[in-house]
Amino acid sequence: MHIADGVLPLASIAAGWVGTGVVAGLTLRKAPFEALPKAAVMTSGFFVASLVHVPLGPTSIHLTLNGLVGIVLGPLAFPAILVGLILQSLLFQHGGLLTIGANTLMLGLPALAAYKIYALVSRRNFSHREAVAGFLAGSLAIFFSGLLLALWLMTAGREFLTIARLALASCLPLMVVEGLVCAAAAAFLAKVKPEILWRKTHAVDESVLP
Amino acid sequence: MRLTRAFYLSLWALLISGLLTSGAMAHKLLVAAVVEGKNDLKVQAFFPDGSPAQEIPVTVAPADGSPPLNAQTDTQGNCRFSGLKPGAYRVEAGDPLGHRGETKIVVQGAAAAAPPAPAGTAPAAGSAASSDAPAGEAIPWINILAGLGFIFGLAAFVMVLRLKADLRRYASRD
Repeated sequence: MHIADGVLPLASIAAGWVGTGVVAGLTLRKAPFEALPKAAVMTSGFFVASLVHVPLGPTSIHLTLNGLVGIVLGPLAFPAILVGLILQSLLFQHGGLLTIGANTLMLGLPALAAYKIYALVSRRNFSHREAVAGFLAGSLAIFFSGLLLALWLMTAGREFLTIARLALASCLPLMVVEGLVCAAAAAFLAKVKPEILWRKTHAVDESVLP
Repeated sequence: MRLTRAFYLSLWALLISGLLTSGAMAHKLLVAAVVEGKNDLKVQAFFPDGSPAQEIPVTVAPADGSPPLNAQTDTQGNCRFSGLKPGAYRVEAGDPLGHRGETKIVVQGAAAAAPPAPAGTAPAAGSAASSDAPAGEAIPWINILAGLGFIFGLAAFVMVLRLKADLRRYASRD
């Protein structure tokens, strides 16, 4: 799920960089210094996860983990994903250099949404709420990324509905896999070390969200 | 009990969706081109794990500015162009989801030669000719280590800067 160079028009590339700059600035403005080591670990996970191929029937899918980055790093997920994508582009040739802005918005905004979804659902009172919240956060992050991918490609003159249908069909297995990964991680972390999850650490101070 | 049921439902959904979807969920697209015979060109488009990029458009553009030739890959990710004139060509393939790969090749007429593809992006043209199924990319261990080193180095750098500022602040209080 990386848009390559030469696919998007110049205006979309510029819009991607401007949007990424604005959102990265907003999310970094009140970033707590204490979260930096955690951000480094999650950025590393995001950076390497793209190399993990999961064979699935006649195809194979690739982990993205933007949902998990979102529920652990909260608003810091966006700059973490930006750094991860820059390194993926430079070192693995995943996506293009010019499209880093568009790719960051495509994966970073759903990560912020995943954090919000996780915070909303896990606040409710029912059994296994952490796992359910993690599953929803992980799978919906991929869903939103697919929609944003279709939106970006629409700016390149492609038909939105066709691309969206194709993107979401391709995303479907990944949504399930990432949902399960996020559910397992969220349930485990909430049990053994809840302070790793952003909501538990910053339960009172929600003002850091953009 | 409900969670167990949800888990099994997820597994079924995973299985069914895996059977229904094509291998388009990739991070990049690789293209290998090789001259076969005198002036026929075989192009292979595939994803980094070696799975073929099926039924995607391929364009072969001559370097002299002549109109490009278009074709579509088959289910094995292959397509052929026949009767090319001697000269340099840019071979480009792109799937509908924004992945794009390209390579360059020289058709020399009687004797065929192709420049080797950049390391880590596509197999060498010769190897593509001898094997129908392209091999997947090797794990780039050096690049992984470089990336991890950069991330933790950056974090350490910011932490040292912050620590330095804190120490200066404490010192100025005294």
